[in-house]
Amino acid sequence: MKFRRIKFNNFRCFKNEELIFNESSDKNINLILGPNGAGKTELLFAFRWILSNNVDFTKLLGKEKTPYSLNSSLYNDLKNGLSAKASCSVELELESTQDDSENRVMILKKTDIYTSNPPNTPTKDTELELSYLNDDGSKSLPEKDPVKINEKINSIIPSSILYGIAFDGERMQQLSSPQDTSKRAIEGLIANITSVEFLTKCKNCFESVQMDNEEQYKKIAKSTKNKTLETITNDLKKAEDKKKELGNKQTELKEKYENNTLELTTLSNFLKEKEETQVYQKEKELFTKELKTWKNSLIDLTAGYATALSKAYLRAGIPLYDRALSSINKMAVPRGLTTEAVKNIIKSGKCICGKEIDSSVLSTLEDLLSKVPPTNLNSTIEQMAGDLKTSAETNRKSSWNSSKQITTAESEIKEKENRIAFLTSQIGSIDQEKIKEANERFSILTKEQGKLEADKESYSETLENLEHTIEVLEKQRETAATHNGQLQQLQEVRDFLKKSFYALDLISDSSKERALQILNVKLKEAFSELSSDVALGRRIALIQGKGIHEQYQIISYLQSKFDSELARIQNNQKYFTLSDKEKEERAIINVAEGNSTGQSKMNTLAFVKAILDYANSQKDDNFLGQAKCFPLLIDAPFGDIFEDNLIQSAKKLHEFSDQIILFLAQDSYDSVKKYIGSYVNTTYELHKKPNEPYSIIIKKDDK
Amino acid sequence: MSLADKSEILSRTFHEVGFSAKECKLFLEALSIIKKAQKDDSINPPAEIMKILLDNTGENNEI
Repeated sequence: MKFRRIKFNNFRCFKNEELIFNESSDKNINLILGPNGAGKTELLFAFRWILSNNVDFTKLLGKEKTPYSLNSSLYNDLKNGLSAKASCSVELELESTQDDSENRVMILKKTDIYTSNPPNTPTKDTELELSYLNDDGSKSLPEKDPVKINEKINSIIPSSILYGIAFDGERMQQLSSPQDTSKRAIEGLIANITSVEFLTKCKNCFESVQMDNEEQYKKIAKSTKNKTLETITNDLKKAEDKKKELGNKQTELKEKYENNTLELTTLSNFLKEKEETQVYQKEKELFTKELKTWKNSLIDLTAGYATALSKAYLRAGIPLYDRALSSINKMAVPRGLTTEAVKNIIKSGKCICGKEIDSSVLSTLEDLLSKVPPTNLNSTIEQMAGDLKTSAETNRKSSWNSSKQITTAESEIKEKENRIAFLTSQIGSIDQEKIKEANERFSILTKEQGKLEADKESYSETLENLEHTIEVLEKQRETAATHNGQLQQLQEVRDFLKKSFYALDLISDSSKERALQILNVKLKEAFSELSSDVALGRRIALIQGKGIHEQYQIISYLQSKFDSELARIQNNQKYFTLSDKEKEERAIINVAEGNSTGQSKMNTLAFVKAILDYANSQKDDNFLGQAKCFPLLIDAPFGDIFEDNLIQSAKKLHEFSDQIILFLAQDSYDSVKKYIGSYVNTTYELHKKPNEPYSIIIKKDDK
Repeated sequence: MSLADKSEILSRTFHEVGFSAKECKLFLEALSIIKKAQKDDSINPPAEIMKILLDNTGENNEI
């Protein structure tokens, strides 16, 4: 990239000025001469203002009395309410050295500043325009989108590069200081000239691809519950195998259940028989009890029978016989005496023989008459005999009945005894041990059947669930089969991206490491070429700090101090774990020296030469190193540099870049003219207009 | 950085990552797209890369 032209309109101290930059292979310096205060730094800042937003004009208040890009006179008019609006602009034309059809670009930056209320706080409105220039000088329609314009500018000349190519004296001094801003600046610069910045872009881009890929993957995977066809097929096979296994188990269970049922029926019958035996036992007990009753009854009946018989005889015979015999014996009653005759005796009180009868006999006779039939004693006796016969008959019947009952009882007893004998034989035929075993087995089988029932239910439920799962999986498989190709493809992309991220990290690390090595070589070469202090043992190194930021730092040191510090570190056990490279870096950091202004400038010049050498050495344009050729804009580089350092730096300046825009005061130029002069192509002189806030630029033919 | 350096970094990386020949080609192609996009605003690198990845993956096209 080269600057071709810059044009000002009311920018700081330039009213309407234009510079055109030209160079050839042997004359690559555009020299801008001017005394202090003529606007050299303002001009340098114009490049930074148009190419980046990171310019703070308040820092230049010591040079121009305006905090804006606007000319100080116009600013004062605004501030004092003398005008309502003022504009300033810078137009920069640059040429890309890349093989690009749109290689000539013109950027216009314009700021309108308005007064506001209060008038001392103006507001500003900045516009950017970018146009492409054709060979015939015509311009394309300007792009006005600031985002797109900044992207384009950044692709041509990134803001990080501005730190390395646009230097005023102050920045030259700062670059090699240990400040964080300087370290970050160097970090950005190195990232840009090496492949790191590009690789970071690649990583961001790959992340976008990854997000897109993941989004598509999730979208498709969602329809199959995040399962691949293979997983679903496996799941389905597992479910079907399980179903088959459960089916077999269910069949086994069914068979076992049926066998158990059969055995239970057999046992049940057996135990039913056992229940009959119990009935037999109870019946036997009842019969035994009844037998006993019957036997007792038989004894009673036999005794009753004997009693009835004896009572019959006794009742009929003995009392009658005794009384009749007593009366006869006592009264000597003639035989055949009728009751009439007895009645007459009692009436007369005299026996038929005429003998008086005592009263006791008479009383007996009266008693006798009252108890015997009135006819005669014989009939009475007959009557009594009849009664006896009747009584005997009754007793005989009673005895007969008793005898019959005894026979019945004996028969019952016999029958009971037979039944008891039968029952005893039945009871005895059943093995009690078997009944116990059967009962136990019955209990076990009953429990087992309960469990089998539960299992059957559980299996049925599980089978039902499995069938549902299989149904769902079959549907998923159908869907997955449709999307499988896509998922597989997206998975391949995912795997590839994963590897790519790793590759980018590795390439980035390796590139940084290699770039640092190369930059250090170039830095040492540049320092040797530029600085005579090398002969005095002064060295320079670019160190990459460790930790999160890994910021780079330019360090100058003395070789002798470094050697002894390195020896100390190498002999110190504390540093045994460090590699040789790390030990060297630590030694350099430990012996870093503070820099004078001149030394800082020398360090910066060496660093700038190194990075420009590195960037310009990228001849091929690929992702591990872009062909970047940057110009160098440098203001008063030789101030505070003296003697051999000045001579060597001046002699080598033309080698820094294909285009150098050098800002010098005349006296400074005079001191190096014999080393630089032959490389100067175009010279401009800046002159401050007396009593006016403007400078003019005059092109000088240096030839 | 010399071509030899670049070549050495790439081959070491590809070996370490385990890229197949086709993956190497796709990786370099993707980086080239990003590189081109730096000069050509009309290129949408993520979309272009996704396209070439999908064109080179899938059935009968495993990488």
